[in-house]
Amino acid sequence: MKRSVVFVVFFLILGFALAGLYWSQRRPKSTPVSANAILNMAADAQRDLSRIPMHFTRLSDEQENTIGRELAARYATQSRKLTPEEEGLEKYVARVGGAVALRAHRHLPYTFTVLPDHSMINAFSLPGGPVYIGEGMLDLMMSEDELANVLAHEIEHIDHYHCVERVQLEAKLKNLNLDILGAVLHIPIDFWEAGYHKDEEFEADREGMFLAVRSGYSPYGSVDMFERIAKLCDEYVIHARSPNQELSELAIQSLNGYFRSHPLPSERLAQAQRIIAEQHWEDRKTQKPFRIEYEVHNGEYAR
Amino acid sequence: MPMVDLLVFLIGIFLIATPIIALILLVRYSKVRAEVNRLNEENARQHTSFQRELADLKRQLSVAVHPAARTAEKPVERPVVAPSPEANTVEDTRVPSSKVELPAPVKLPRAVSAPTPQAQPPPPSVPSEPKPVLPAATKTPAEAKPSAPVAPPQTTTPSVPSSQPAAPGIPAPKPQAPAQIPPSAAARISSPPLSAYRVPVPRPTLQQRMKTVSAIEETLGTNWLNKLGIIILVVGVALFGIYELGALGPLGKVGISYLASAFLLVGGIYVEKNERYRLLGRTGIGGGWALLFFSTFGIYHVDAMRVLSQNPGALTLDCALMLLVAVAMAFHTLRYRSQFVTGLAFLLGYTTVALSQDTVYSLSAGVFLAIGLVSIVLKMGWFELEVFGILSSYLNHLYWLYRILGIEGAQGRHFEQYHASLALLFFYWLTFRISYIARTIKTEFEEHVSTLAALLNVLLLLGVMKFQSVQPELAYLALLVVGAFEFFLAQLPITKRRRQAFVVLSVVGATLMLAAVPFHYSGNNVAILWLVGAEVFLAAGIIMKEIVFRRLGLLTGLLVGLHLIGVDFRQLLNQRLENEGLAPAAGVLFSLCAVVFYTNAVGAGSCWKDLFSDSPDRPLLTIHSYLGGFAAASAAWALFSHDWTALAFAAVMIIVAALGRALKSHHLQVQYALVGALTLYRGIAVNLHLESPEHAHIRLRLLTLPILSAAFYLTAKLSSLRNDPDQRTIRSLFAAAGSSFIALLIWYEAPELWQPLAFIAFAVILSEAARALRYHVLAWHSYLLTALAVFTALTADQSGIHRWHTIPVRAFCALPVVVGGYWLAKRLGTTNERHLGLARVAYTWIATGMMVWILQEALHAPWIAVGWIVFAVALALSTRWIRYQQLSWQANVVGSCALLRAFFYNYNLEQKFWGPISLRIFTISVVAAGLYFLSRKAAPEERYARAIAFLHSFAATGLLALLAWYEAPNGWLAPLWAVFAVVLAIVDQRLKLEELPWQSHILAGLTLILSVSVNLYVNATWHGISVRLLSLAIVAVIFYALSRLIRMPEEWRQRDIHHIYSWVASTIGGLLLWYELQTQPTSVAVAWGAFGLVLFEYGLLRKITQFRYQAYVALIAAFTRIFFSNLTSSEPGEFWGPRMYTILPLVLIFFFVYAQLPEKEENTGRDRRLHFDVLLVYLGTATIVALFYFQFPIEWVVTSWAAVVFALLGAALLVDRPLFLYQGLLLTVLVLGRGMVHNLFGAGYFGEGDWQGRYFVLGSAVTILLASLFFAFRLRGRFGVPQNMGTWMRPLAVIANRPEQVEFFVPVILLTCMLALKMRAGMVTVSWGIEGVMIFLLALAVKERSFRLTGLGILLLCVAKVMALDVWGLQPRDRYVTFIIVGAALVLVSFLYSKYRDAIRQYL
Repeated sequence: MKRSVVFVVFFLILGFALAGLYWSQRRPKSTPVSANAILNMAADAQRDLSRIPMHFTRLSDEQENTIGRELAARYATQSRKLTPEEEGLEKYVARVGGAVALRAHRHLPYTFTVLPDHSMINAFSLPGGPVYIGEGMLDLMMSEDELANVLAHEIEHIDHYHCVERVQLEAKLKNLNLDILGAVLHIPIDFWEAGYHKDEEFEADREGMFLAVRSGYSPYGSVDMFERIAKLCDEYVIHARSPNQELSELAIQSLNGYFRSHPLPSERLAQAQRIIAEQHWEDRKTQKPFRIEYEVHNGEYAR
Repeated sequence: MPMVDLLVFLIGIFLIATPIIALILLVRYSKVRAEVNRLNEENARQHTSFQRELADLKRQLSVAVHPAARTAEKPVERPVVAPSPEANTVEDTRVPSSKVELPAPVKLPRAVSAPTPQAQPPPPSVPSEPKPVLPAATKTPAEAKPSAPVAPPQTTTPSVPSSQPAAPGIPAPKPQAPAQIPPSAAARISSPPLSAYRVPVPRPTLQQRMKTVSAIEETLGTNWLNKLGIIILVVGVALFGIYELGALGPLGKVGISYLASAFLLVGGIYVEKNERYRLLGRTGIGGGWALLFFSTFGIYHVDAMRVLSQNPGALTLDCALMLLVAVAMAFHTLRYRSQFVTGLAFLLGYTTVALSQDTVYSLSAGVFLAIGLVSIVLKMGWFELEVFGILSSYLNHLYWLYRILGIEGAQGRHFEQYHASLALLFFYWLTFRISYIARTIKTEFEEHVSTLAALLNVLLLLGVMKFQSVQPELAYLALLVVGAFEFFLAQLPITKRRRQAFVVLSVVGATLMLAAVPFHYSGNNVAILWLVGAEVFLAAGIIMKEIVFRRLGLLTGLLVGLHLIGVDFRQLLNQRLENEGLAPAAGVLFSLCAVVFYTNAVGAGSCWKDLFSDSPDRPLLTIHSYLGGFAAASAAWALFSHDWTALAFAAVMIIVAALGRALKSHHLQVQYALVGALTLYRGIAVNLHLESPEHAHIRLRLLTLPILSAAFYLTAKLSSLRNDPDQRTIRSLFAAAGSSFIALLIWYEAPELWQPLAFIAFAVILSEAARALRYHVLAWHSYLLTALAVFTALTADQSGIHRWHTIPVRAFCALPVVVGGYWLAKRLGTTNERHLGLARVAYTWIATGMMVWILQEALHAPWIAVGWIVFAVALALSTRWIRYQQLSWQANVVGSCALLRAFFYNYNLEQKFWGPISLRIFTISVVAAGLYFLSRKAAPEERYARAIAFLHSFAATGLLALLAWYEAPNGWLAPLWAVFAVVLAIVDQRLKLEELPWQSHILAGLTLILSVSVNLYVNATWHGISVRLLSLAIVAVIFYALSRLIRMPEEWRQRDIHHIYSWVASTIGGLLLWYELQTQPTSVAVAWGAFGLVLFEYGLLRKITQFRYQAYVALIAAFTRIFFSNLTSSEPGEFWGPRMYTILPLVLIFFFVYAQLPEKEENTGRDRRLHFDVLLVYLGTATIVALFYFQFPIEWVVTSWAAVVFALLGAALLVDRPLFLYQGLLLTVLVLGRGMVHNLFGAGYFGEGDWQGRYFVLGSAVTILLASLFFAFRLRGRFGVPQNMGTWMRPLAVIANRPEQVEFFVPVILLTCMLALKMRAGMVTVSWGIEGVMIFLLALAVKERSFRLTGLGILLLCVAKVMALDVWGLQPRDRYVTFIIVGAALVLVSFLYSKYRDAIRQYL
């Protein structure tokens, strides 16, 4: 190459780089430093690699049900007794969940339980059908459609074998015999609350939306819920102020983050909006009020 | 339907068998190939052998030329030797191949040594003559026709004579002559083995191997699919069971046992007659008798074999039978003169007796057995047998006693058969003792066995007597009588003829008599009696000149000594532990023993030296002398108490020392040394009176310690026997003990503040005494005393109670030590130069050290460092006046002390000294100045000047740098140090001081550490500008300057060591960017990339390699950074976000930098050698791959990567660089992995996704990869395979040389798996069939054989799936559709195959 051409290209590239630098400095929103990229790739690879043996070590529905029952029984001993109002709320959740679960792929004995903890902004499911939702999560909800979407999301985790694959994976990692229930049941419940892989979450979001819509609910319940969670997430993100803080945050996130590789709420929101656009559901914005029937009938449901 | 099922079954069997048959064929093929190779090697070996033989024959022919010539001149009238007629019947040897490379013809006449024109029939008497053949003379190798096969006899016949004329001097045979020498016979006789003529088979070429595989392909494609049939063989299994005999009764078992024993016995007797099997026969006999005895035993005693009823009569009968068998056995076995067999017989006899010994009288059988045994022993000389007999007799008797008395024995209880038992035991003892005395010994071994028997006899007698002891008090008498009798027997003439028997019995007798004493006497009497016995034995031994008695006497004396130690001394010890009272009786006993032992050791040992010259007599006497010493010390302890015991020990020590010096006895020396140690211990433990307070006068201590000291000094005078190191050591130890007592006296008696003076004075006295007496050991004592003086000076009055004004008195008390130290250094009591030098050094160091200590005690704290540095300067200047180098060393050390003092104390001084100058600045500056002075003036020798200069100069610089730390505000220290470093570098450039560059380096290093650890975190501002930015920018600029300014050896510069500074500067720059751009983390990567680009261009422009390396590091850091910030920075759905506009410039930078590293550029050669070009291009590609991974929806990543593959292969073709090809192939494999695990197996279980999700995504990736075949075919073989590639890398290079294979197989695998997983179950086979046809068509189009085989394989897979799964599991409709389409595909392919068969073959 001629020297002059080199210099021209050099200055062009340098200019491009400086322009990128300028644009990124001008950007109002700061991206937190994290190992999410590497963790996502590693988790993606690990999950993908684990799927092949999953195809060949599938548990039967009966085994899955048994495991779910045992885990649920153990979990029942750890939570306090519900108040009458909470019991009514649980019935309400069970009714919405039962309506949604009717259209799932697999016909499993789905059960829905409210966890009486206002600080628990989460929902999770166990193999075989048990679905749990925290009271904190219910406090966030403004419509029954939001509840239906959340429950549908958890149902899809069960329906698409995400839950039971956790058992399979753990069993394989610990070299356990899958026929021995006791060996599997020592897995802590926190493990189920920790969430799933990014792909699985996306799949549960996507399929959950379809399930909720097939059950007569609005897909915008999902959108509203994600928007609310995204707002919460933005409030709690810590932005490092120096490379030192970056490195320490990085270390902490690397340790914790691998098992919590949830997609960002913004990504989930984007997927939901894309599906709505693809499926032409823009007109299904009407949502049912949350717990209106419960309140009307003074704590009892009329069927 | 049954027909269909049958067909399906046969087809299935065929399909299952096909790979097995193929494998078998391949295995057989490989075996045949191996056999051919082996034959080739054998053929080559034999060919070589044949050539060697041929050359040998040529040599023989050349040797035979001369005789042949003479023969030609004078023809021999001898008939031609013709081959035998039988030779005609032998077939000719043929060379089968046209590639024979034989240099000589095969057919050769066997004997043509003297051919005559007319052949004569061979005389019958000479059928053949073993003359050497002359093959080489008939035809040269050049004349041979290798390709011509060996002709039959009638055609080859003329060839033999035609070759003959070539040999000069040999008459040419006529054409018809060979007819009488059948060539076939000649060939047969002269030819080597057939294998030598085998033609080497060439190894198959690649083309041939391909043809072989092609044949299989043809078979697969055209033939095997139509073949039905398989043979199944079944092999049966046979079982062997365990054949169990039915249960037998006792009689049957006994009968079998008797039969077996009879068989063994008879067989043994029969076999024993044969010399070869004699041992075997005798073993059989022994075993037979044993089994016979066992059988006899068992008929009453073994439950399973009992045939006799259980009553006393039957028992008696059985015992009688056993005895009968035993006797018969003994008599029978004596025939064979076999000790083993006879011993076995007696063993069984004794067993019989043991079983039947109901009364003591039944034991009489044992007496007869003993007598019989002794008789046989004496007659046959089987002394081993007697040992067995002794054991059997006594143990048999013991067993009988056990049955009567129980496990505890008699324990003094009387029992009825006691006397009879006693008589029996004495009878046994007497019998075997007579046997021992009366026997005739032939060998030494027999004597040893006899000794064992003799000892066993008496030991077992005593043991059994002990067991049955009714009157224990008579044990004394029994031992005495038996011992006396044994001793008496020893003195008999018959015994004395056998020396060993005499010794054994004498020792046994004496031992028993001595052992008898304690049973009757106790206390001191035992030692006295034994001492008397010992002296009697010793006297007898000396008088009779009998060594046994002398040794018995010495050993008895040893026994006395052991008694003294173990019993009498223990009693004395117990008494003295209770109180300090005297023990006159013990004292007398020990005194007597001491006299006797010393008399034996010194008197007898000296008077009859020749009698005690051998071992162990002399060692025993030596032990006696030690026992005497022990007894004397014990006597002194018993007879004296309190402070006087030590004096008594000292007296014994002096007496023994005098005796030892007179006799020059080393052992006596050891004894008085031990007594001296005892004295020392006693003196310290008792005479020092440690229980009393220090510095208190005690009369006995003042009296006895000087006496003890004098005794040790006197012993030291007496102790040295010779002038050798060991003796000098002993003397010095005694002298040390003497000095120690005086020193201890000073320690305990002198006041604390006067102790330094007393010790140093005593040291001076000892030193002067050493000079006067020329005994230099005392000089060593003076050293220790000086050390004590120093110690007492340093530890006296630690609380500083006694003061003179503000100065503690102890500082003045130390002054005599300083003076004494210098005095001793001047007047040392030794003449050894080395010793003198070392001692002088030590004393001057002590004096200087004490002076330093005095200064520390006397001066105020802030000025101690100043005082020391002034003292150090004074010492350094003194060195120049008195020329004593140690003072220089001391100056250095004192200067170091000043440095440490300043370092640890003076930095904390905050108070002002003068104006703005604080006390800290002033004192530290003074110390630093003193150190700079010392760095130039305190070198004791020239060779140390450099080290001294380094040490002090570094120290001074360090002090000043640390002073800057204290004085400069936070944030500005790093630039200050950097400036100090650059100032030092500039000064060094002018003055050329060696240590300054190093100080500059260290300051720069500290600056770096400070910059990284402090300045990076400074958030303060200076006039609105960040202090971090300002300070680190200054530091970075100074570091870049230092990389040019700092003085460094040229060799280092050539190795770019100075670029450490530029590396540091760049690192600081990078860190500065990181910290300053922290508000937007995505900016950091692109900033580093731009920084790296600038560094690279600067390095390229100025041809500075290290700048380019720094650029590479910056670019790697930028690449790493994107994984932590940039890749996850954009919002979902945002295409042109920060991810794109911060990562894309990096990609451009990577490839731009890579583009500037061409192979022809010499300036960047090192970069390429380190593979930075490879790294950069991989970074660029990896950045794109990572960008696409996050930029596109997760299922589309595979497609985007496939597009990158397409672009990379195109780039490889465009710019002609193989790196892009390698990356493309690597990424292709990644596409395969990603597509398989994510898009196929990672997808959901319920495939309700649309066609895009199921087929389009991965299908697009497959399409793009197949499209890249366009480039891949053009890149095939373009870059070649390097010859020097390693074993592991070579296969990869080969793969890279055929990129079209990768680019074909990866999409095909993906497509096939996608169809299998995504297609509806009924349509999978159909889709595969279509895929196979398409691939086959593609293969025909691109003329690629592997593609064609792949298509064929997929079709075969379809057939297999149809037969194995589809025919059973598909819905009827799917089934027939599948059959129609797959069948049509097969027909189509078959048609195509047939049509293009010739073309296909051309592709091979």
